[in-house]
Amino acid sequence: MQLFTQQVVTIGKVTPQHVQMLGTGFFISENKVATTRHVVGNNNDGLVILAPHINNINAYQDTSDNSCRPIQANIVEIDPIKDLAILQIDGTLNGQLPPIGSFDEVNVSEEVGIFGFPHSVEGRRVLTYQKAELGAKVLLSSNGIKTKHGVINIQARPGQSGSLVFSGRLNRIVGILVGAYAPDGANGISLGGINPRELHQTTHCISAEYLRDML
Amino acid sequence: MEIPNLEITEWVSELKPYQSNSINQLLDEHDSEETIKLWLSANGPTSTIQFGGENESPEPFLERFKEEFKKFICGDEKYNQFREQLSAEAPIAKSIYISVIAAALGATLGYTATLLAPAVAIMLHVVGTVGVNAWCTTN
Repeated sequence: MQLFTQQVVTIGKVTPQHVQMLGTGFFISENKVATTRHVVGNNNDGLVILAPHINNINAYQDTSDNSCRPIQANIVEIDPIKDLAILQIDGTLNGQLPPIGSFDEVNVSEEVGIFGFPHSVEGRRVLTYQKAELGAKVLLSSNGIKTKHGVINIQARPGQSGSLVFSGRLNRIVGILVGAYAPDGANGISLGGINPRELHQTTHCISAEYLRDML
Repeated sequence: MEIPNLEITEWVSELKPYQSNSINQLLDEHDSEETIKLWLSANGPTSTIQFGGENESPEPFLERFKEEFKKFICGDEKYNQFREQLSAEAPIAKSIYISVIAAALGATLGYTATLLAPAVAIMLHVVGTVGVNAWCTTN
C-alpha cells in the first residue's frame, strides 16, 4: 500500500502564476509515467509531474500546503484513439512496481482499488484510495476502433483521469480511469460548474494491457 | 530529396505496435486521407466525459499539418536543417524519415512528434507513390 504514495502522482502544467494540476498519472517503470492523453494535451510545454508529497498512506495530508516539487516531463507516446499517454521524466522511482495486467483477468463483481487525485484540477491535492466493484466489461468506440474498458461502480470526479486501477487479488495494475459515461460527450447543463449528467456511478476505465504496446 | 516508392504496409510497420494496429484498422475501412484525419482528430471514446486536462477539445489541425508537410517535402527553406539531417544518412531508413519529419513538423505545429508519426508515415507513402516532383507540382 505504501508504494502507491510514490507510484501515483499528480500531472501538472507550469504557468507563469503557478502549477495548474491537470489530473493523475502513475509510474509504470523507473522513469515512465502513464496517464490519459486528455490530461496532458498535445505538447510538452510546461508539462510536469509533482513529486510525491507523502510517504505514508495513513499520513494526514495538509490541504493548506500549496508547496510542490515539479519534475519536468516529456510525452514519449500518445494514443489519441485509446486516450493514453506515456511520459518520461528526469529522475527515477525505486521500488518493485506491480506488473501490468488486464481486465481480462478480473471477474465482474470483483473488487478493485483506485488510487488518484480527485478534484486536483480544482487545486486540491489529496492522494485518495477508493474501492469499487467491476460492474461490467464493455467495448467503447473511438473513430470506429473498439477498445476494452471496465465499468467500475463508483462516482469519479475531475482530476481522477489517469488514476491507477489495481487488483489486490492479482497484485496487478488492471486499468486506467478515463472518465464517466455520457451519452453525447460533454454536453449538458452546468450547475455551479457541475454537469449533473456526470453524477452517476458508471465510471469508465480502459484496460491496462494497452500500455504494454506503448513501452 | 527522394522518397522511396513502398507499400503503405511497409511504412506503417515502422510505427510502434499501438500505432500500427490502429492505423491498419483505420486503413481497412478508409482511404489514406481519411485515416490521417481520424487519427489526428481522435479524442478517446465518444461516450465518455473526461475528468482531467484543460477541457479543451483538440484543435483541428489537419490542414496545417498537410501544409507544413508539403513545405518540408517540397523544399521550403525553413526545413533545410532537417532535410540536411536526412541527407547525411545513406541509405535513409524508413524510421529515420518518419522520426525526423515528425519532429520537424511537431516543432512548427506545437504538437509532440509521436502524435504526428503515423500521419507522416501515410503521407510518405502517398508522396513515394507518385514521386516528389510530381506530388509537389500537383499539390
